[in-house]
Amino acid sequence: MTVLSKEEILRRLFTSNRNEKLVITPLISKSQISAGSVDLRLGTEFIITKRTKYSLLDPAQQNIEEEIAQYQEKIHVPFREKLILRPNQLILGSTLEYIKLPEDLMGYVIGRSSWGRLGLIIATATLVGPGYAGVLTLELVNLGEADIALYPAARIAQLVLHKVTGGEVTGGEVTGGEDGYLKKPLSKYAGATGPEFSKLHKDKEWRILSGDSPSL
Amino acid sequence: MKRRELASLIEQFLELEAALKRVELGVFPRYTQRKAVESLISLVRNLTSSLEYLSSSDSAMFLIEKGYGVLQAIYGLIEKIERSNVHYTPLGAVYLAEYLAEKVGRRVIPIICFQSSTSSHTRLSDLLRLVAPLLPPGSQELKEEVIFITLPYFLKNDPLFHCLIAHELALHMMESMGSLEGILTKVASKQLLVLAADRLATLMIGPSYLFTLLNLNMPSSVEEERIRSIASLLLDEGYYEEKLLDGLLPPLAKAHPLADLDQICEVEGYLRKTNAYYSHETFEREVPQLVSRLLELLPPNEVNLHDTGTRPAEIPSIINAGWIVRLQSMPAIYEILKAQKPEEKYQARKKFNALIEKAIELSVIHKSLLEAEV
Repeated sequence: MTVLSKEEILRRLFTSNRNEKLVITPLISKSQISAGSVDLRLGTEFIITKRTKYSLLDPAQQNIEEEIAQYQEKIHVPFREKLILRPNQLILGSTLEYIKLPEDLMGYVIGRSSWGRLGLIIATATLVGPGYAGVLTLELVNLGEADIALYPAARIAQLVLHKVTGGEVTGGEVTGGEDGYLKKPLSKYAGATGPEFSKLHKDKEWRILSGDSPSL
Repeated sequence: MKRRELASLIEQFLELEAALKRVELGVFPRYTQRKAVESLISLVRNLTSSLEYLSSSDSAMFLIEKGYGVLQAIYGLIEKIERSNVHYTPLGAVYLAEYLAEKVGRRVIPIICFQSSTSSHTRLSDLLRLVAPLLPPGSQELKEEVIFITLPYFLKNDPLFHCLIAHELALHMMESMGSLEGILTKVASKQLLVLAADRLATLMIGPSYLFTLLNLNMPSSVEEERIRSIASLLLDEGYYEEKLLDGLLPPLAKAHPLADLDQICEVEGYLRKTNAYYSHETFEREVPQLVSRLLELLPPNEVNLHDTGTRPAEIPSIINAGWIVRLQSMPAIYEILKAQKPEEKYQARKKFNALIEKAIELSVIHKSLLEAEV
């Protein structure tokens, strides 16, 4: 897999060839594109944890979806306002940009070092599969000692794009990636417009792992 | 008796001020809400101090008569402000209202809330007029008008129906022009005022306003005249020659102009000269591209330029594109999303609405960042 250069990213963004077309919208300034990556901005929607409603998160539990709904909530922080991230707090955010990758590209989301030096981690599950369409969910964690103010539309992450070679990945399901990023052909068109709750509990293997499956 | 009633009224005004302060402490992410609360606090303080220093019995009588009504009215506005919070109100509606209010250019702060079965609006200046005799000189002028727009609750999650905001802002525009320039007197009847507001709303957001009315299931007798009047305007604006709208506009036979509407030409003329005018030219330039984006399940937030990349789409173009796809191509959207059962179609529709909301927000942020760069 080769990393896409600035020139190739620009070519992909403005090509009229639909099979090669890369969409990153809105791309406010070409200065967001540097050698080998594209800067991404923070979106306005977040999923926060209601700490007073903590309960055990057991993905094998049958009513885990209700549990998640009870202890997390979606909030909207409009442009020009801020959200404070406390030390050791995890919130889910998303990129402002809506992204659509062609079938022959995949990507990695990584943090920007200037934010990292403040203690901010932006993604732990970083793989973006070929054909993915939607905003990217970011797992924002403050590992520093001080509160960090997060502003929607601030440049917060980078997307490194790779050309996928060989035929194994294109058009099919890929396993092993973060749920929501690597999808079957149908879902890859069904783009998210904000951060999404974890869907870990939908993995079929939990029935086996928890001993509920009659086949065990 | 009068003195006791007055004392009781003062207590209630003080309680009202305390309620407003609690609202002020709440999390109100929009500057519009903060401004509205600040304006109300200032009004209530002025009223309370006037009450405390009342000397003339006429004023006392006036206040005792009007005071409770004013209290109720302000509590009603507080409720609207609280309901305008992003927990209750989709930002897409707020952005549309702010966009149109700014274009109308009369320093209007819109507060949007979804809480009734019909749409309406209240203005802070109307309340001020009611209590004008009690206010100190100079405190009756508003630097910025606050307009509280109420929309039907059942339309909350459908961004395409938020076009009704344009009608309320158009009414406000005419009301302001009426007091300022005497035009309101020319638009004599209430029915004609509604027709005029419809036409101004159409000039602000194009055919999407007509689609909103056509899909609202209004009583047919009311609908027919309004639709006919809007259609005649769309004909004049050249939308009937638009291929993208084939089969979506009412038959031309019904689209004949109403004689009475000559009277509102002046208001329309005023609007055409402002930034609030959404022209057919902009529609032609932007909407076809945005429709194509929606059909690829991309948010319709920007348009390609031949030489300089992209630029944010106008919000009315986004809504027009949304209506065109909603009316013409939902089966294609369902097919892409493999939605066949009602639940799947419902989810697909939600996704489609989310794309429209996202596009409106992206367009606003994109435009603000571009302006900041310049």
